[in-house]
Amino acid sequence: MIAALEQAAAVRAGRVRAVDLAQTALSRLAADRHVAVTRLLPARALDEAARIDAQVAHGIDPGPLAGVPYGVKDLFDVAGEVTTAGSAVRTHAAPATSDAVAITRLRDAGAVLVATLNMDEFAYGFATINAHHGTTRNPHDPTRLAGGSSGGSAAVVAAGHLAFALGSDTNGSIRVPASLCGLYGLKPTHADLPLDGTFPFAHSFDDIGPFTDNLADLRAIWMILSGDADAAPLAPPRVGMLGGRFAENLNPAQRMAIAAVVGQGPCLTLPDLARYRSAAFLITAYEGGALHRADLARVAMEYDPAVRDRLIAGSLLPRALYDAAQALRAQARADIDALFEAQGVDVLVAPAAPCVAPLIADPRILIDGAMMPARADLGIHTQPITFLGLPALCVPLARPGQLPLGLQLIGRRHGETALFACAQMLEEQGVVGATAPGALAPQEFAGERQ
Amino acid sequence: MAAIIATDMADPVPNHRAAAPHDAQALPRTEAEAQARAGQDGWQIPAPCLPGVMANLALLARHAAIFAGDDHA
Repeated sequence: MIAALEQAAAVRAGRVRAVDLAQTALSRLAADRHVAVTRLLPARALDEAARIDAQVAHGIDPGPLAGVPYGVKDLFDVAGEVTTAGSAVRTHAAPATSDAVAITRLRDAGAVLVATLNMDEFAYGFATINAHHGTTRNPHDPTRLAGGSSGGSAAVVAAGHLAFALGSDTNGSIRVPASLCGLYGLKPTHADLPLDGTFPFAHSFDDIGPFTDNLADLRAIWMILSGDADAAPLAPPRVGMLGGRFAENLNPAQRMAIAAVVGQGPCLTLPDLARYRSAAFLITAYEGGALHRADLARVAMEYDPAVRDRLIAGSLLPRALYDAAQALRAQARADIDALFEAQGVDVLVAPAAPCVAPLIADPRILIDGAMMPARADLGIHTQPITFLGLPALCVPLARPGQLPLGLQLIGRRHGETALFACAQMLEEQGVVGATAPGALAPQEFAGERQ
Repeated sequence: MAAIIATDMADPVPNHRAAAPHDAQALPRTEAEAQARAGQDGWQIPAPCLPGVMANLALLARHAAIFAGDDHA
């Protein structure tokens, strides 16, 4: 896939028409075989693209993403469309009256929205196993999961249909699919990017962010979405690693890469890590259950059964337990800020997901020596970082010919710039970099689990 | 080899194991308790959902125990 910034440069220079880029993207998405697309938006896309071409023809700069087609997870409001959040429950909801703020910012930068993309129903899962639309397949090996819940967004970028897509990340829903599909994905500092016009899941943790196959695009899109105009050269960050459970459930390739990246840097162990993840699990269940309680009472049987039963169970959690988990969250956030300061690091490195993409036919993963459901447990390494509210950038390990694996670069609160600097350093060292699908012989990896 | 700097014994990360579960934080353990809790919110859980709901409540109970400081849950 040609990078988003290169596509935009060609459109701005008049070498390529935005309408042609949109047509090509729509054609590719219509022919997609990864169960990644929930809705094409041809009328809107071609209108937006024609507007971009007209601006170029009149000597007006349409913006840094001029004419670049992109897609959004099916929980972003798109004016005139029903925001389904991947659920049949919302099929008859009123159409959105305006675009999500993130879509507006991208449109103002010249980007062209062409599709909405598959997800776990109401974003409750790490697998994009959707009872209504089907299971999204991993472009690197279609017999494997793409990860979730933003699996459709990851799959269309990994497949080369689009240069970028937006997803959401409540407990790892950008980082897990980015890792499994071999992409860059950013979960920003909690609440730093606008959630207005997105369907919520668990408000304490919900965030949005982009997927790309290269770092320069990711940073450019981050700057557009955040309004951060600081494009200054990136200073080398001070890097450490997270030990403890982060070092226990990971692929050997991830272990070797982390050791190479961190060198003599510090290894930090968070003593309450297991409690962090469990508290995140409880808060998510409580907030998700509370959000859906009224609809569950009305139309429970219209939900995806697996999601429904999780939401109902969450709706039964006692408020006191939720309050206690929130109290730990507040303390943990203060503690991690102090830890970054005390140890003098800017970036902590950890695995993004514990393994390569699981097989669709056997969606289980090995955690602490036991087989666990991928749908609930692929986020074992992302959920504690969510709990701490820190920004995390998933980077793909450079390993052509093998199934993708990613690392999380975890920063201080509002420390995204250091994450981009670290990722750039790793790219220059040849440690990370996206690989296009196609080099894999799936049968060679059918047995690879960790 | 990277040096281990912060561990359970090292500040500045305190250990928060003081919190213990109490009755107000107890999860429903039976289908009857689950229905009673739903009834407090004015609805009834459809019968076909109960097996899945109880399985998820068991998972949440395990996380509640870990949260409370029982690492062997």
